[in-house]
Amino acid sequence: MFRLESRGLINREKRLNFSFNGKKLYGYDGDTLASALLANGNHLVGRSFKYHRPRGIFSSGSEEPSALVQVGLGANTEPNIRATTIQLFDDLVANSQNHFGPLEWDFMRVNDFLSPFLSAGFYYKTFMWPKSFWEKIYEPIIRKAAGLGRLSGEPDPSTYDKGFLHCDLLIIGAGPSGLQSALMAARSGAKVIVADEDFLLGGSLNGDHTQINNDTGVNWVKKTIEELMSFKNVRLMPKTTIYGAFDHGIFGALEIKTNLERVKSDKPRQVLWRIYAKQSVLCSGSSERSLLFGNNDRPGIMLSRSVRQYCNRWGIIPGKKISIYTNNDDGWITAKDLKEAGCNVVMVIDERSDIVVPIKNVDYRLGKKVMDTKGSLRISSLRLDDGTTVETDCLAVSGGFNPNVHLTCHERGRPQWQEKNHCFIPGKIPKGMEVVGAASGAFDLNNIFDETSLKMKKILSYLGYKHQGKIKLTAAQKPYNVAPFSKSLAKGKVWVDLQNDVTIKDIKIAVQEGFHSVELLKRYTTLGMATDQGKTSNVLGLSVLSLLKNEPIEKVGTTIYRPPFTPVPIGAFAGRSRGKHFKPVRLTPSHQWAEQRNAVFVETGNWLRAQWFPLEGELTWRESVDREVLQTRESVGICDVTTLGKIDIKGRDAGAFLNFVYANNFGKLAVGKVRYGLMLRDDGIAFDDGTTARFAEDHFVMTTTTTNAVTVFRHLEFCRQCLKPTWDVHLLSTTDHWAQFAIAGPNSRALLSEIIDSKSDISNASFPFMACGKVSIFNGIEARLFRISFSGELAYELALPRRYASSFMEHIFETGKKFNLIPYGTEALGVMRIEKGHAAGNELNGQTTANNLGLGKMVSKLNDCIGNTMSEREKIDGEGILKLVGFAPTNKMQTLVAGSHFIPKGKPAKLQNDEGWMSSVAFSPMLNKSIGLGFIKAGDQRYGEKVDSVNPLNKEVIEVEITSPHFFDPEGDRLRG
Amino acid sequence: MDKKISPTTPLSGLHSVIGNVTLKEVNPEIFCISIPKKMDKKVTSEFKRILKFDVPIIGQSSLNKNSTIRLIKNSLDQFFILFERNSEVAGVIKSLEKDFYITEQSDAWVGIEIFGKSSHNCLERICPLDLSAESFGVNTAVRTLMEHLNVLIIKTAEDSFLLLSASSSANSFLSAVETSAQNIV
Repeated sequence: MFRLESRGLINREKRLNFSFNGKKLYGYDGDTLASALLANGNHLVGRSFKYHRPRGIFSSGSEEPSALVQVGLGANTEPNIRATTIQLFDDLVANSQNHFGPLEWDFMRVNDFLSPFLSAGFYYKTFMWPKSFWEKIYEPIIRKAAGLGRLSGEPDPSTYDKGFLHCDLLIIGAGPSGLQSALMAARSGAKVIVADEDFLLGGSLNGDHTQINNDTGVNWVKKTIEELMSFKNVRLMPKTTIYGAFDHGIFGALEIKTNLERVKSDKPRQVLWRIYAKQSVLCSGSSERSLLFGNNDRPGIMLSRSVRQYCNRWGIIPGKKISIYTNNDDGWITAKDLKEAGCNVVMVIDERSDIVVPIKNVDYRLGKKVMDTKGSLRISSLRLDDGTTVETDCLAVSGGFNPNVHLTCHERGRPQWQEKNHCFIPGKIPKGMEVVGAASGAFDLNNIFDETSLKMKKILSYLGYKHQGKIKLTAAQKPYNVAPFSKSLAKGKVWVDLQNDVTIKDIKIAVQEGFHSVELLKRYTTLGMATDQGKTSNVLGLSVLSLLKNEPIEKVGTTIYRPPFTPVPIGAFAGRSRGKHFKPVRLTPSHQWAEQRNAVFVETGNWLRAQWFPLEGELTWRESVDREVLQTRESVGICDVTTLGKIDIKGRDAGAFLNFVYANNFGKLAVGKVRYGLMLRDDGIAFDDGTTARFAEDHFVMTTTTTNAVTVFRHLEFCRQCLKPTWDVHLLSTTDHWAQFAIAGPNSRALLSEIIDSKSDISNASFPFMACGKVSIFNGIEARLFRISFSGELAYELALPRRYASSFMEHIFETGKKFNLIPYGTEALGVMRIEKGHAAGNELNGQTTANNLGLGKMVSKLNDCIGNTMSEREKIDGEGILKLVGFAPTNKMQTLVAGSHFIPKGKPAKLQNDEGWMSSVAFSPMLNKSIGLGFIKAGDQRYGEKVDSVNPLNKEVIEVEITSPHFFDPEGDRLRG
Repeated sequence: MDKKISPTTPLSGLHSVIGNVTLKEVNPEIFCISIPKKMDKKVTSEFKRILKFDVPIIGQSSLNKNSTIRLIKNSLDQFFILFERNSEVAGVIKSLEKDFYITEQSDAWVGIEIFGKSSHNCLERICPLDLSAESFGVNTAVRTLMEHLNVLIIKTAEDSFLLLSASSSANSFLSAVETSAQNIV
């Protein structure tokens, strides 16, 4: 009914079924949703943002401000999709948005009648009283009424991906200048990417009856693409929008992959590319703008070139009685093509009076303006300024063209006004970018081809490629002459921005109220915001402002465009970083073993660590953890401590280097010995701690905390490369190479003796506390053994190549049966270190010093170590500073809470009475009570004193006694035994 | 002590084919060679004497005659030497130890060999580097990031790469590579 018999670039043999608002319709392969809707006679597709005016299809591309629809059902639904850009596919489900009740009878159309009260800035002036109404009444109502489409509220079942592409030349847009550029670059051998947002390459040539080199434009496109596809150095990317131009030749691109199988496919439906281009050519063409007249927003009022495109590319009859309103030559081309297609063109109205009418057999008016239109759900007539009324159901409007300069602005380039064509052209262009074709303000095809050829030769030469062969393109002349903007004489509502319902009246109000800078105008009226980013409205709005201010438009200026050029779904930015792909997971070497034993895991950074190992019948985590502590202290337990950072430090100056990076001395550490080390930051604050073992004169092995493994390594590299570049020091992270296990408990030596090969003697005499050495285990597997203890028990840490870890765990537990060997997790590890009074991450929290930690004497005054001088600052080194001590509740039944603050007895819990805080707490199964470590002023001199531990969150106050931090085996007999 | 413990690999010997991409776990022995200060000038001659092949420049690798040993230059003072497990190279390492600092790294890494017609397309989803023949020739070896993971990528043939990443995150890395292969449309 609305489809021509033969015209268009659609495959009429492939019929596609789709639905709109539940109505079953069909289109053809090659249609957009918009063209298919028009072919089915659907001009009304939605309601406007604020006034809920009926809205139709206004354009045929990404500039579309009105035809926004909701596509898909359930979790797959996606709002605010421009019907003009979505490629039709079988079973597509689309629904109109932003209406209450049926689309034709939207109850919210009452807003249109209330429009005098809803003009620009109304929300700044209303809803202010009574105050209590805002949250309970106004906001819920406004939120319900505002917005366009709706999200499903369910997780998006589609997948998205990202990628990286590299090229010599990125060509943005595959219209005539884009394809010419691509051809020249391809033949020269340059690596080229051609990206275009349309699914059909060719740009305006697909919708125009242009002649190129005596062939049709469509045929030229076809042949050119065929040739481009034959080059290995060319990557053609249809359905790919370059949405942003960033520094250093980096571009963001969104590729639509699977419209067709959207619901069924498990492949990503969109890919977000980062394109690295040595040079780029912007061939993004131009967008048509509208003209200002009364009620210029009705369905059936469309941009002139779009009407032509619907007719030529999709074989659509856009109306039974088509009229054209133009101020430039392009409107007449539309009239000509429509007439050739057999459409009924009832009248052409041109604002210019001094032109030669280029076509015959058409009714026209020169020097006239459209004043107003009528129609309910679609335009039915228009009225000219001479009072003539024209019956029409489709009005094609052309107010001239705006070069698509958006990407030239992404590095703060400001467009410049071109008086000749009354449009903004690129100003400062990003480095490495050239602009050709209509995007540069050239509208004649022959000029475009000549200009492109010249610029491309320069680009190729810059890239080191030579232009091969001769490409001479000539097109039939199409003059382009446009009238300047003129004042609208219409009364009533004249729309400037269809998407945001901004009218001339709104701009007038903004100017009256002092918002006459373009930036303020935009924000006050919302002109040029939302999904279309003002592609059809910005310049129109500026022209109104210019006329209101009686200033030339170049003086009024323009806002600049930011990325993205068109909307990019959040899902595409997230890419595959969802669920298990959100971040990498590091597994300990015994992970699988622990998993098989029902370990409960905890995230520590990227690592998953076994937290505890519940046994059958244990109902709470405390039961498991208490058992692990008691059994380890009674016999022997094993814990995977691979996550601690391990750094091999080698070189003639390794000892001196450690003296420099650690606060305490390492230069004199004997080979075969281990020492605890404290690392300070430049400002004297404790940075990290751990042990470092000396395996040879020039070989140390440092351990760091799990949390700081990376930052310590980075810090050491900085010290090595920048602070001591002449020293012979070499660093290597060996964290992943070595699986490391803490074996703790009175029977740890006996157990180790069973697995260590006979030649290694680990008796207390030969291998005392803080010894280290290489051993072999299980018949010749080389390992490193450290006699160190975090638990306060007789303990060792055994490091073996990771590949043997799984087998090791199986075998050591087999061997350890007679010792009742158990695995213990990080919770038991934490309990034992608190019982022993060892500082850990909670204590080295970035605000404590060696003195606070009770380690002040370790800071060697003989060495020039990092943080030494600053650690002597009065504020952090004087009398009465915070000291790490232990805390126990006077009532054993009470449970301490980490983070509680200490207040002297009898004083109110106020900041000025705050004396410190509880950093770590645990229930000690050995002492059968809750214990804690914490910092309190002069704590080391206050043992036995009672203070209140205040937890304002739970409004809880617990009386605690200050004690030594060493709750268990304070003399260290067990670990030295 | 009569018990013996046995080795496992991070990906349990993975070998999978996804479309035109083949993924295979390879775990070469890897040793890091650090060059002591003031030994820089002797490196070329010593390496040539011991390894019998040329020293690559930074970002490149070179192979011995039988392609059983690969030497990668990571930085001014650091090389990686890779060889197949079970190769008779213990002597080589011992000889190198006399003049250079040698640290074994074999178990720190997981190796995934990726090859096939679509290997480039697969990698362009996660690898920020330009892997085209003009920019990334065979034997190029560069460290980069893929899905937040540190990776040493070595081009072993036109459509074949060896990817080395941390063994502790082997599963996450494999998942990233597999997802890329599956996501190619």
